[in-house]
Amino acid sequence: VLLAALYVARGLTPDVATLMRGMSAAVVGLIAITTLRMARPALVDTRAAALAALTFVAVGPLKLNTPAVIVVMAAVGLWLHRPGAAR
Amino acid sequence: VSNLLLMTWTFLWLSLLCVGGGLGVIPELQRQVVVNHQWVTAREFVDGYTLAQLTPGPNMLVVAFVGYRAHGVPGAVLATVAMFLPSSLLVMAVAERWQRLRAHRWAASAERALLPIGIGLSTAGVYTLARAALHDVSTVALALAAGAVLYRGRIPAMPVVVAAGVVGWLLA
Repeated sequence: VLLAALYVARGLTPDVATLMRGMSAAVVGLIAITTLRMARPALVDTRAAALAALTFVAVGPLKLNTPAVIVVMAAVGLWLHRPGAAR
Repeated sequence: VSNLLLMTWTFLWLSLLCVGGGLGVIPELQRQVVVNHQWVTAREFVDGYTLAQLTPGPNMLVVAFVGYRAHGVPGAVLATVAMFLPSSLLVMAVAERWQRLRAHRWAASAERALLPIGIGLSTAGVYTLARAALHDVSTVALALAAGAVLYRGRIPAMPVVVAAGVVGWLLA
């Protein structure tokens, strides 16, 4: 909150804006690596990779409503992984 | 006041979308606070997320930033409570029963189904922030360089992020 207050009160001087641009870019690198680390052990087969890819495309580039995407993909995922389904 | 209540309600339902971590809710959060309600600009949203990364504590503290920008201290407090309380209660409720629930034959199915969806949502979160934060060669290069350094895992994230800010400033 303190940082937010400073940001809002001081506004963005050109120097701070440039600093923030570099830091934001690095944060994108950081979260990309974090996601990659999570994805590696989780995407073990085609079904998992397809579920992740479809969810990404729907919520990311297509900008579809996230709750709706979660409901549909969870239903598809549960059906694909239903007890007794071929592994 | 009605706008403050609307904001609190928005963060309440968004908090329940945190499947597989806070990053997954970023696309919907960005759409709500930047596009639909215009509580912050796209640039401020990315800056708020970056500031949240620099502070100890969860990255979803970006909502405190949004709340403060829109409604001052009451906005920051309500936004934070709304974002963390429902999901914390849900986690507590499920954790308590998980030992019993996991014996159920559908529990493993649910785990296997939800994990990749969480990964897909997080990737969409990276995509959303990348579209807002990377807009020229230098920002793309800084993101790639930071990613390459952090991939080795030898240097903690915060110094790398600050160093990228300084490098970007020197290059400008």
